[in-house]
Amino acid sequence: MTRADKKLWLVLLFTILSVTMASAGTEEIGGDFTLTDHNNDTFRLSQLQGKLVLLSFGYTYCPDICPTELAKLAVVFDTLKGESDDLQGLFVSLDPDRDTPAVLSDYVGYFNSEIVGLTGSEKAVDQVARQYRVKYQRNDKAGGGYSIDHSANLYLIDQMGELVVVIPYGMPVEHIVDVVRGMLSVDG
Amino acid sequence: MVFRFFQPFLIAAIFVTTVDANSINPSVISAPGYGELAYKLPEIGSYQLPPLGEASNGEVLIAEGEQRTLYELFNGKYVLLAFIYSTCSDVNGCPLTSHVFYKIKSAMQRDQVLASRLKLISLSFDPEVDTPSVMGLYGNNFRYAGSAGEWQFVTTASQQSLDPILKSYNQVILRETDSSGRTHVGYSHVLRVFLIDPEKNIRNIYSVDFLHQDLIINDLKTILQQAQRSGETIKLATASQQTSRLSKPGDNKLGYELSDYVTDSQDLELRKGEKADLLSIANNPPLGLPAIPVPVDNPLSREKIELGRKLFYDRRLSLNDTFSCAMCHVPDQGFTSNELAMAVGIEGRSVRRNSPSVYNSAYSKLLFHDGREENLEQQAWGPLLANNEMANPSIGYVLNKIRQIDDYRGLFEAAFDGRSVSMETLGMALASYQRALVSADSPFDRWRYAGDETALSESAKRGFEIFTGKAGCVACHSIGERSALFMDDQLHNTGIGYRESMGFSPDKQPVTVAPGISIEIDRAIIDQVGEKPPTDVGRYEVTQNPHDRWKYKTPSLRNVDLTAPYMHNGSLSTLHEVVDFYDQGGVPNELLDPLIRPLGLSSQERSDLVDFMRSLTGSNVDTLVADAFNAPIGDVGEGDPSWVHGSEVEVR
Amino acid sequence: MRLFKKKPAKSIALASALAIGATLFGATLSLQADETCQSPYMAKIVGQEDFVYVWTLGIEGMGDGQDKLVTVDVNPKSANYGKVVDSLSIGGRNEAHHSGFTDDRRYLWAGGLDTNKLFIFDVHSDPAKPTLHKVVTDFVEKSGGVVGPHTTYALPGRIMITGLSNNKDHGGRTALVEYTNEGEYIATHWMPTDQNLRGAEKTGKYADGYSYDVRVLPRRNIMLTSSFTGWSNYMMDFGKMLQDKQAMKRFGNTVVLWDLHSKKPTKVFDVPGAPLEIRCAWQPDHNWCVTTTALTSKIWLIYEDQQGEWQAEAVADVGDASKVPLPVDISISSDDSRLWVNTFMDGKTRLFDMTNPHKPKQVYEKVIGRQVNMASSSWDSTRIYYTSSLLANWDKKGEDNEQYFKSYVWNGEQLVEKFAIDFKALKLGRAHQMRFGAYSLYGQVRPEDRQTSIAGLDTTGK
Repeated sequence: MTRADKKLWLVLLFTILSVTMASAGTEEIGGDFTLTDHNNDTFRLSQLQGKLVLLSFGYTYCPDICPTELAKLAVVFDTLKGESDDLQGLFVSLDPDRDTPAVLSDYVGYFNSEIVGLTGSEKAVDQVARQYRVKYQRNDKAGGGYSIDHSANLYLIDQMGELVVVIPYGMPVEHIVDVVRGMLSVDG
Repeated sequence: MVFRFFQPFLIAAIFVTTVDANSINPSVISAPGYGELAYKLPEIGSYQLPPLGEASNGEVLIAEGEQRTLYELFNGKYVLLAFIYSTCSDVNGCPLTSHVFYKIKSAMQRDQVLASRLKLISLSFDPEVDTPSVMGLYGNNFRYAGSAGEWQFVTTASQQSLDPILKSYNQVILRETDSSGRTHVGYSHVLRVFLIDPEKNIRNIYSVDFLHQDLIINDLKTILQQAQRSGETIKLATASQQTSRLSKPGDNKLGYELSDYVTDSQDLELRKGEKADLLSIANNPPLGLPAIPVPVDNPLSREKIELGRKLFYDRRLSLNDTFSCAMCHVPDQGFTSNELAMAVGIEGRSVRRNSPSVYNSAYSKLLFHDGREENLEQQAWGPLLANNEMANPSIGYVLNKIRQIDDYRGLFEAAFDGRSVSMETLGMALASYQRALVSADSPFDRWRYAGDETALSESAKRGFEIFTGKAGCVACHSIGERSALFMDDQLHNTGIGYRESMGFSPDKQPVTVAPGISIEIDRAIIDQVGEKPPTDVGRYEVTQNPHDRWKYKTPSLRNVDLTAPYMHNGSLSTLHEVVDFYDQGGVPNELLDPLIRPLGLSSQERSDLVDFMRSLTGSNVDTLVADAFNAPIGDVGEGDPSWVHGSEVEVR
Repeated sequence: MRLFKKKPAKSIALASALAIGATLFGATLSLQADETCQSPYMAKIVGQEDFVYVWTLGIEGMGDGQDKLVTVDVNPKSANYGKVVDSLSIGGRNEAHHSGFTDDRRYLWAGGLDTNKLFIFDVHSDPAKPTLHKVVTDFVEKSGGVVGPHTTYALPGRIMITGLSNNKDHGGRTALVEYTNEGEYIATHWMPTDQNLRGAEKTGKYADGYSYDVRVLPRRNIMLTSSFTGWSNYMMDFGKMLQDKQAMKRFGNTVVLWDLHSKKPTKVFDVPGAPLEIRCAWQPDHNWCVTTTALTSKIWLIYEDQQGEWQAEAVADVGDASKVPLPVDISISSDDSRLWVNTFMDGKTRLFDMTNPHKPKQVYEKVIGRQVNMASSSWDSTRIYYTSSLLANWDKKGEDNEQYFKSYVWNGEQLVEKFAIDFKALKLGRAHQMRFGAYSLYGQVRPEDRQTSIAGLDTTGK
């Protein structure tokens, strides 16, 4: 192998690792984090102790998955409104460049006032994504602009701050309602 | 701020319509699994789901982190197995699987059979991210909702333990990489969900278009129902088989030239028949036939006939395993070919003459249209070795091949007192079968030789008078006092061969292109796509005697109604055309047989003649055809000389 | 319909840079290559195809006389553009005819209409150099007597094979046969006959039990089969056959509609005159397929009417039927607006406007050669390839027997020839079915790109 080859392999190796490292790991999935909410206030997950948290990831320029997922969350909140006050929805932006608190405020507000939009520095957001093994990647588009590919599971964190259920993307809203209701009745 | 929400959609819409208007990608449509099925499903139990091979085993980790084999997880249940990865977000990929599995899981809440018999398994192909604890978090979904039925999430310890599973289920997973060499967060794979039965047979594979809960449940119930009913014989909904039809062509094209033609096709799957006692038929030929001449050195026996029958239908007896004797001497086509004027051989090579019928060939002292062979034992080798028929390169090649085919083991020895396959015994066996195909006891025979006045119609009786009188047909198609062979073992020039060799083709040729539709096609077009036809000078080719030019053997008229088309080149399609031909005196040429002259028959007389010939069909033709249908057809199978079925193919 | 996620156009030449669901609309932009005549289940090439695999019939006395899979480099960026880069002889002459990929597109199945062998080529390990992976020699025995494996059509995890004939009389009655992707026999589905319609409705006068091509519309759960003729006819000298009154009665006059899921026939339509190739519309609201009749020179539309009933209707003539132009291969554009129809006898390719499928109109024609059979168009309709051979004994004789592979570009108004390869001069044989190959399908990079993007890299890793 020539020196140039080695250099190239290293670059390749690094890029491969950088993706996998972002999400892989033997440590437990979940945990506390600190970000900025859509009112530009500092937000810690642990401040929601006592509440059942529905955590999702996305970005506001997202064309299809995020709006459908948020719409589903909104239905969950509407359905369970009378049953519990101990529910909180979170939407973490994976696109902090574009998703300022103000942008997020408009976006999540459209779906449901109970959902809090979260953003932060690129580093802070990336840290949270790693904790929850969310995979995401920025893709530049030929005509300018970019999209972000990302995984879209829904994370359910119980009143004690423990991640208890991951609902795979694709499950219908009835199921989410059933699971949340089930968790509320067991734990709450 | 509604606008903000819709903006991305708007951009998408513009993009699609302006940039990609010519190739709207159907994939943007959500898979059927997300909605109601847009069509009616086939009735449960009304169709078959044959096994698609065995579902493989493999080592996996369950949510608790313990190791299990897939077979342990299957646990004697019906299983739906999907490959997923938790970070997959293609709408029509893994999430579709989750959605459809959820729907089935929901159905389990209401359907006890489903819940108890079926198990859902999602196996991750991303062991790096999808650790057992992540699988556990998925599994927890059903701790809180919908506990009936089982949906298990499993993963593997490493890529190394995953790979053999992926390979055995034919799941190709490509890590997505972009142009800068950067690995993407996604994988590309062909979505496949497997339905596996308790015997570990894969019974169906669902891709994006088929992954729908209703369809899967329909399939499962179909298999359950059929498993329950196994042992009961499933009756095919079929028309009752009329044995009297067997001797008629299975693909009857009678009247195809007319616009009111309707098909009358028989089903090949129902082409079955009973074995006949050919030996006793041969030993006691039906009414109207004399005893068959049998060579002293080849007496008939059951074993020889049976062996000859097997050989007659064996397609492996040709160079490339595509041709048996029966490909040209088709049982339900009068043991000749109704489908062709002139035969075609291996690789479609042109044969110059019409396939003669094998019926009653036992009585022929001359074989082939030019009479070049003298007995069936020797005749058998002609087609086997002819380059444009079965094209075997040598006698030794044929014998060697038969020696290597397992299902012939011991058969020659049993039929020929310990003699194995040889040029002689092969010919003897084939001759014995063909010799046994004797057929008579026709309406004519019963009228003529048993005195049954009602056996023959009045028109056929009139036809007989013309046949033996005014038309003089009997001069060559002889009828004896106690029996009739309807042939003279002689060769004659009728002018058909002369016309073909010496005549001029018209500029246009009528060609039937569909039922009732004929087009006059320019000769030039035909010549463009056709080889020049080979010449055929008939008996002359055997004797080299110029007087024998265009002489051909007189065929027997027994079963003549079944053996269209007629004449040595199949140029006349119907018996009416044949009668017209002779009525006109054949085709004049200097060697025309003096017996052939214009007959001056009325149309009534011509029609009576045809009716007479139609009364010559033997009463046992259906029995003989049924027996033929009962014969095994030899095609290349496992272990045969030409059999190859490995993945280790050495060609280069 | 979508199996692989689609790749952005910019990374065409490279590995699987696929957009995932979050960029669905971006993905729609990138689908702009590949043939339009394949199974909808199949992985598709995005962007420029690298190769065309030509299933070629050996000619006795020419070269090695064997059938072969010929690989032509068709990527304009390649140094070998327009050249034959590989030729794989497979032994004997088998009446090579049609071929098709498995759903994951890793293997190419090619049938021999004469010897009934199935040749399974590995096209994924090295797309530039396919290898023979497996040969199936017991197709007839396993299928219960089906002869003439014709179309090899990808269904999920399996291949549907149409038969043309049978081992009982070498006539046209036949069946569909299913095999697993691994090359193992699954089932035989006999065509409906008068004796046993198998639950189908005989809508007209014919139920001949013949078969030829197969296509599906999964979202309507339907499958269609057409009908040709038996071994005796497709193998014999064409000129001889035209003059054989019996043989000319042995052509198919039906199209059969099937329930795709249960593989059960539901309707038998009268479509007289040997309906051959079937192409189904791609657009999600186009519930129709087309076929052309070889002997009667018509385009037939098989469509679902407003009541949800499927119907068959003759919608256009192809050339002058009295001259027997013999429509053979057809190719539909991915937006369903155009249909290429080749007519063998006059060597023409004809473009029909299908905007109203009930009233196709010929808008363009061009002579491709003295004879022409197959046409394969790229997904974006800009590139179209032609080959010459119909059947070994049906091809024209003598001087007229041109054998070629020709590459054209459709510029919206006319076909412009890019290159042609003379298969006789190269002693290859009769060029028949074409299938597209690409490195990108298998996460591979073109060797030339490997060198340019990774300067000085020793790819062997030494």
